[in-house]
Amino acid sequence: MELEPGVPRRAAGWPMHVLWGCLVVGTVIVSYAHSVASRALEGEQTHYHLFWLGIFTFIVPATWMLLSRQTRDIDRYLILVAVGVYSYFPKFLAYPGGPAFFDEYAHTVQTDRLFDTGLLFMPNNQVVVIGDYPVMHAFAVSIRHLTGLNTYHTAVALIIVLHVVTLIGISAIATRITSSRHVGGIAALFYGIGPGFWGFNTMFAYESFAIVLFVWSCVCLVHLQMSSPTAWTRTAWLIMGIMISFTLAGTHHLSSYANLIVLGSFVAASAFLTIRRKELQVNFWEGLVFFLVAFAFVAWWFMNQAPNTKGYLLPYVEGGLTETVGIFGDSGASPEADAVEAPAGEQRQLFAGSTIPTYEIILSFITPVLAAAIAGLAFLVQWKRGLDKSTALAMTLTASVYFLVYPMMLSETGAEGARRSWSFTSVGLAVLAATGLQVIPLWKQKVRRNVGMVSVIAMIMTLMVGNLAVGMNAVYRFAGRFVYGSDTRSVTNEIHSAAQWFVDTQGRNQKMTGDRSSQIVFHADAQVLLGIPDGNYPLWDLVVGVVPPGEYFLDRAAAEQLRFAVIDKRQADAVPMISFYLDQSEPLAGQREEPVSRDSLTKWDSMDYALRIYESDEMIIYRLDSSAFHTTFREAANIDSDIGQESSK
Amino acid sequence: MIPRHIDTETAPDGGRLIPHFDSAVAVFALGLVLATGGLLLPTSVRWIMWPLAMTVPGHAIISAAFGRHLDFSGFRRAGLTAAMTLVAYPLLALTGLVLGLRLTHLSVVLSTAVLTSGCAGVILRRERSEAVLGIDHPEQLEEPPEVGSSRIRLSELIIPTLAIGTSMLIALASISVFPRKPPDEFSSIALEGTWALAAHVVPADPGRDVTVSFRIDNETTRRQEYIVRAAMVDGPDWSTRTRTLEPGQAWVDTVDGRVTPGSCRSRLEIDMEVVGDPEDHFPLAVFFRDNTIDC
Repeated sequence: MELEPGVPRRAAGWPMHVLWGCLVVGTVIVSYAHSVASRALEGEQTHYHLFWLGIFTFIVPATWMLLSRQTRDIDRYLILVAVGVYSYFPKFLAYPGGPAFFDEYAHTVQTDRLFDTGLLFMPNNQVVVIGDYPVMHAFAVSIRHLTGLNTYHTAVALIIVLHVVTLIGISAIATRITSSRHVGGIAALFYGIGPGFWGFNTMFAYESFAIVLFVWSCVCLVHLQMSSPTAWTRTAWLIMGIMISFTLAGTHHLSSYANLIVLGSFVAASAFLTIRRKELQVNFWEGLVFFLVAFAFVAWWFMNQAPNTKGYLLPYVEGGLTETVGIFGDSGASPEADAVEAPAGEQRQLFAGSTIPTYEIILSFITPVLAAAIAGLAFLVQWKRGLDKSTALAMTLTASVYFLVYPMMLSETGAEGARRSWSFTSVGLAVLAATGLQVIPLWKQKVRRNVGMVSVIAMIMTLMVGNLAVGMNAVYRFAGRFVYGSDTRSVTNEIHSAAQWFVDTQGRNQKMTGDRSSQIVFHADAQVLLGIPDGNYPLWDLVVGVVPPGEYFLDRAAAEQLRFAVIDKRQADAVPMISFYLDQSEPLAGQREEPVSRDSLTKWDSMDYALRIYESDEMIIYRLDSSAFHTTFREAANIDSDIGQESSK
Repeated sequence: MIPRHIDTETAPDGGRLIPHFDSAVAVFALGLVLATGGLLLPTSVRWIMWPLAMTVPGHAIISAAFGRHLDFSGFRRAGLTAAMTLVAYPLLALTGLVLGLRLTHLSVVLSTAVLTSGCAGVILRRERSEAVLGIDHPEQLEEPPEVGSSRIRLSELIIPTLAIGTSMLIALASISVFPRKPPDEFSSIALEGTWALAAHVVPADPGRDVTVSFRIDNETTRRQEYIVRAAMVDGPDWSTRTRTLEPGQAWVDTVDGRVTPGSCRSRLEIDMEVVGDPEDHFPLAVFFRDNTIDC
């Protein structure tokens, strides 16, 4: 193998072979950890220890090689490819064979419907807002048409590619800013151990797709601003960036807004440095053009194509801010004060009732402090070097937002927003941190350098454990014993069997309601049309009410042509883990301490319009005979038969 | 003194992962292969088009936009190619929407072919203008020098590819090889045939037997005996059926009896009992009326 003079051969030799061996061994251990997890009893933690053993079997040598100055560039990229693939294994091993998370079911159905009909912007009643953002579904369907794969296989292959491409993108940003592939590799690794990358972003959902576009939008702007002012490739980068930003506007609401914030940071940074005469004016003006065009796309999409977005996001934004402000306004409260899950609007206790190992909890509290320390060190390094690049300054600004949202973790609603924002702000943090961490392998004393690198590896391990513990609920990380109302662990083969019977006998596209876990399976397997519950259409009265629903509901149900209800008998045995049965707006959502009574199951016997057509140990399917909805309104209107025709099988 | 990185700003190479794949002919040919394969290959083997489907549109776009002047090569170019592919298909779909086209197999294939052909045209135009201007070499790139070899050799990819591929296969195989939580065991009963489609009160002659079909599935790992009892609530009893089912076995059968005379809405309940199983089952419920009276 030919190497450049002065580059040690060992970088291309046995250390890399050891690394690849570690990848294979680590995969075996992680796979076994998930096998143990699926059979674990409540309180057992062996699978956590095995999981981390397997993860670090590969990540530790990978970190060492990426930190080393002697590793060849091609090996750095190959390691990043491997990390991208490896980071998808935990999700794949936990939930093989189909969608697992609530959003994944919705996106799978949306993709299937688009594939079947060819129509973009199809409504989706499970996650209403995704009907306004068809980009990922259009992509998946295009790939389905060209490759003949089904949606699940397309999703698996796609997520793996997205993970790899994300890391390569981070590497491209850092490499361009620092003129060092060494820093690029470290930055990508730092992002790869970040919150969400091993959890939230492994979902087949529009966020996972959008984050890649977000990263490459940043790549375009960085290369635009750092190209020679006379290079005509600047125009090409601008066009690429605008194309990506437009696609991003139609992919995911939050990601497109995050893109604007980061693009705004670039413009602000270049304005600041232009005023100080450290930056070319053209960078500011072209960055501003990029930002304004992207802003116009996002605004246009928001106002013309996404009518559901405002109503979808507003409660999260208002709730998160109100709760966070409320927490800090209450001087008597402290993070440790509440021992139980806090009701909405009150302070949330971190890890309340969690079964994760103690070391994960401890490390998750250390993580923000450690990340802040690394960011501080990196900022000092940049400051000493002059901090004269707008791109580096913009990344620093982006990184600062990472820490600003941390207080929102203390509120129920804000925690979701904080978690999601980290996928974007981590880009800035990763680039910033890498500029600091890269100093250590440059130390001249070998002992000092090796001790430093071991310390960095320890920090990486700490951050990774802490990030995963904070970023993903313990129940979602591993498949395991049944947990009612948890989405991933409340979906059983019994529900799938019921859905299959439903497809075989009733056909698809029937109007149905049920509890959340059953709904998502029937939505995916039978493509049922779900009702959207609200105060005027309280579907929860039908599913978990202890008495038959009132006349108003029946009138509305007849008008909506509601035909079926699927009931999980366990609703009378346990409170859902997600704290509501159907929808977050249902009465007592987040406040129940006892499950609904068994009357919610027996009430059906007094409903002479409900035909019980399927029954298993835990599942019941009812057909609703709307011709027997004898309400005052319907009697007066002399409505004695179905309004619409039954959908054909 | 904080040490600076030793990399400097010089160009090492021509910016290509694989030489000459960004020419107009190559881009057009790749698009043609993708379109032809995507259109004509049978579904069962069309998955082999995956690598092309994930790269060709993006490759065409960046080849058209940058030519040989892209700031980087290798993995980053591959990353940008994939990213622009993510952009290309949705933009084509949205363009089709504007034109009133649905996203179908044919529209995807044709639009991809049009895109790659258009990009090939742009590349061809640039190649000719650069030839006229005498530009033989790409611009000097502002890239740090590679550590080690500057060009990717396929032989260097064998071991990493094998390792990554092996780990993927291990992850896939482990689902079957390593023991997992056994699937939930349950029994189910359901209306069968046209009875599963019964939507309203069923009119029936109380003087004649009515036959209702049902189906039972034993989704447990043990042999179980099932007793099916049917009866009209406040009316006559119907027949009873008994059968032992092996694990995984299904049983389709009927119960029969008569509807309650003079009733406008009488409820038939079909109850499944699993012998030795304390599980409390709700009976299936269907409604009948006497068709000899006005209701």
